[in-house]
Amino acid sequence: MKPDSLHLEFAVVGHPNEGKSSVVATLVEDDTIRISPWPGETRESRAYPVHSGDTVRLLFTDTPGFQSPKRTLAWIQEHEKNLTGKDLAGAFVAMHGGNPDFEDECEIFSALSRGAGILYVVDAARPVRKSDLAEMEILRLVGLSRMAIINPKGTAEALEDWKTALRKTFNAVHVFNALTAGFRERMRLLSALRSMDPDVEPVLHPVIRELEQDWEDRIARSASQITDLLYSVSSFSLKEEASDAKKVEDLSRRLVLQWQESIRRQEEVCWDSLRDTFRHRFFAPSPDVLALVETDLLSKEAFHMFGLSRVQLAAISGGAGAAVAAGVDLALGGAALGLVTAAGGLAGATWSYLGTRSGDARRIAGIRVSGFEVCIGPVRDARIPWMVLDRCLLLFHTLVTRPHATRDEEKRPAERSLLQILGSEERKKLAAFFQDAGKNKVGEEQRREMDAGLASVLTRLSSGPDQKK
Amino acid sequence: MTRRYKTYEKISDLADTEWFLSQDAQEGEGARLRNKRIAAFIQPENTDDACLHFWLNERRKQAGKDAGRILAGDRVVSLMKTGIVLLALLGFLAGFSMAAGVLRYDGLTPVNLFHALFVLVGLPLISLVLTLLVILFRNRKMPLAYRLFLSGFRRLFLRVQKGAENRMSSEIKDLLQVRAKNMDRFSGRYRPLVFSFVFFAFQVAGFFLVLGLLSGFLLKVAASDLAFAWQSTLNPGAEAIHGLMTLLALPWSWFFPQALPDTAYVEGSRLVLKEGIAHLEARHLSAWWSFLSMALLVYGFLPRLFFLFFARWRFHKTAMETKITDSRIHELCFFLRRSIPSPKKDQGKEKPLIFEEKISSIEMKQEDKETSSTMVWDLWISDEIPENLHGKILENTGTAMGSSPRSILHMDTENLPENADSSCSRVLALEVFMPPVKEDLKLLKGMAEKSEAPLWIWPVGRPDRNGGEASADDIRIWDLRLQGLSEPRPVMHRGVRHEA
Repeated sequence: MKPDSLHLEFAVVGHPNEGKSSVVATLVEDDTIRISPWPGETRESRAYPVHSGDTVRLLFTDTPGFQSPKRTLAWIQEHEKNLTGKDLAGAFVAMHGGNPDFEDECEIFSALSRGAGILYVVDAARPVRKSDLAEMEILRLVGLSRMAIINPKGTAEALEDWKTALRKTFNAVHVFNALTAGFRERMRLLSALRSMDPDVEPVLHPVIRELEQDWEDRIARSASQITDLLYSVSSFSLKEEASDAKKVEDLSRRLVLQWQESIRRQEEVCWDSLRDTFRHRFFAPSPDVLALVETDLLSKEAFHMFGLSRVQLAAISGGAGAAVAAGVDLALGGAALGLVTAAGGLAGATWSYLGTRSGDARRIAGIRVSGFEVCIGPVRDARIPWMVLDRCLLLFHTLVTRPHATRDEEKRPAERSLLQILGSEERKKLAAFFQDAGKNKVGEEQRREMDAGLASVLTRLSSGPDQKK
Repeated sequence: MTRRYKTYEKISDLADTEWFLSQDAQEGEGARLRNKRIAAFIQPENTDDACLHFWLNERRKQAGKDAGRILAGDRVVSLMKTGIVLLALLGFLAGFSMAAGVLRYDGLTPVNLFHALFVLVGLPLISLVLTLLVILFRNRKMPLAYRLFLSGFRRLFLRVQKGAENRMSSEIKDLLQVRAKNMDRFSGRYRPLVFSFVFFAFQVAGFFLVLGLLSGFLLKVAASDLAFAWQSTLNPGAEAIHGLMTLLALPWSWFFPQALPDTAYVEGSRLVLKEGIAHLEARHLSAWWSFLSMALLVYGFLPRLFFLFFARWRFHKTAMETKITDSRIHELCFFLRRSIPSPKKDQGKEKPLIFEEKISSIEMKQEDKETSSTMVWDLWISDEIPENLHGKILENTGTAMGSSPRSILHMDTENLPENADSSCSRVLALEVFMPPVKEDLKLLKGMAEKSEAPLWIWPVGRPDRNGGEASADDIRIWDLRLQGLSEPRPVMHRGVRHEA
């Protein structure tokens, strides 16, 4: 990180235990920042970068809480006539450095002495008190550009009181719940920073555009990773020849296990890359999500939990069969009175329904033996790619909606299946993709279409699971 | 005998009190019920000291002292006594064997007078000088080099400590700070006592060392044939040696001149190895014993005896001055007195006087103070607490304290009333939903220091939740931070929990 490549720094300040570290963790997407319900967790100022790709665009400095606001205010009032801004902050540090009573204030003022913009964080669940007013007055007298962030921890009973008090001192007041904020809320907060200072606007505007672009890139990358996984799961096959007839059965068993393991590993690799993409290093999902995600992909439970039901699959296959048969009807000039179309649909649905009857591993994998040669895959059970997709969507949703400030287990129940957000056209395209992938017939164009389609699904999902197309 | 008994009895009291207090801290609710039962037998007119004494005796009974069970205090005292006896024995044996070792005469080589003087007089004198140095320089500033070394070591330690603190969670850090503070308090309270005991023990050892030397010397003189002679490579004259001996014998020569050999004796006991002792007269060789025994008595035994008595007196004084007067005792005494059943409790519901400005305008009558069994206390309410909670605070604090407050002050916590009665207990109602910052703690510590009586913090929660009742988490945070302060310190009031 080159210091001269940095444009903006914001110091996140406030009373102890108001959620400063949570705000920083959510803003910079860093789940390594220490957060605790016990006050005094942050003891030193530390700057955290906001990246756009590999470039650092903004710095948010997490600071300890004010420990001696009234005495600090007295000093500031005494010296603000001669000094202002970062010089005043620097003078405070020079005067009080090494004094244990002002240890935390020095940490705060050291960030301000670099000219950092001030983000004052308050908890709207409690009423305004004298020490808050003293802190606000300190920040006003320092004279740097400033904005207040109301972080309603749980409830926000005193929200209006806070807004009234903060508006007297701050250029802008923004409500931002660090424990629920998603990407849109983060961007809204960053946009609000522009109102702090006219000088910030020209620098921040392109940065926000870049960050939005970065988010879209991340979604596109995730879509591509999921497409890769779906393709490899649908097309993966293994072939091996046994030395004699007696060993064919053993070989079959071993290959089935190998095939299953390989599918699981591919899924794991995809999940890891999704976590990396959304910078969740310490992902701790809720017990519900954990139960879902940790369920073995090829277990019987997973068939009930994920993907499409046999009836839903039959409906898609019936539609596909009917579409093929409709061509015959058209060729006959309507002489068959649409009976061929109906028969085609029925045949497709029946084939699909019967083909997904059992959860037997050998059947799922599609094992074939010819002579001494055992061939396994591509996957025969049409439910498998849908299950893989469902699990990926579930993980993606958890990752994008989980703020980096969250440290405890999630309370909200996990979605059971997210395939509901797919439109019928999307389902058809996906079914065709899985089929073509099983035959190794996916072209570049189809692949691109698939990436774009999935990116659109993920974008909807990142805005909430109910966003059906 | 009585004095010694009192000293060790006091030490036993201290050890037992510490032991029972630590037990109570671990047991929580069980301890509360037990203390409540004890309080039922305490007379209302008793003072805090008397309450504490009664409590200690009851706890001892419950712990099985009457049934012969050895308690912590007994163990500490017996350990101390054993230590002293062992040191005395060791001192005596060392002195006796040193005397026996140096006083050996086989008929050919007499005892070297200077060697005997060094062992019998020199060593006791050196130990006396060391004792004096310890007494005189114990509280003096250390030498510069030592202070520099200590300061460097301290800096290194602080750096390591800060690094370690940054790696631990804030809750663990607070807990460790409380433990460290408790240890500081403990060592601060008992350091003088430990020093005076160690000093006394060493004086006992020193005295018995000299006693051993004297016994060994007298036994050798009485039960064997000893001959003393002096010799020196420098070959000084007999007059010079006589002058030196006269100087040494100054303390006793005026009343016991026989114990100072004259010049002829000195000359007669000069030994030249080449010539042997055949030409020396036996009376000259044996005459030195009286001089040596007087020197040992005057330069060894008597000063040691003096220091022994001094150390014993000092040990007794320090033991009697050592008191446990911290917030644990305040809490215990409050709880005992609060739990004393009083027939007047229900009758005497006086209306408290409510005023805003001055506290000194109300003076409590002395006779009331002496006769009243209920605690006299003031209620201070932080001006940030909304008025609609005042009634509830008054009711709750009154219930917890067992009486109505003498006065109520609605105050700005930054401006402590200068003229407040420092001998009256106070309950300060404070909002605790925000964690305490250094500034708050410093202010509260200052308030506690200005008062001789305990300062209780009554926790108040958010006005819009549970009728202003503070949450358990907030109370715990405040309690730990208050415990991290040095004594005297404000104490989190546990009245609500006790009543629950």
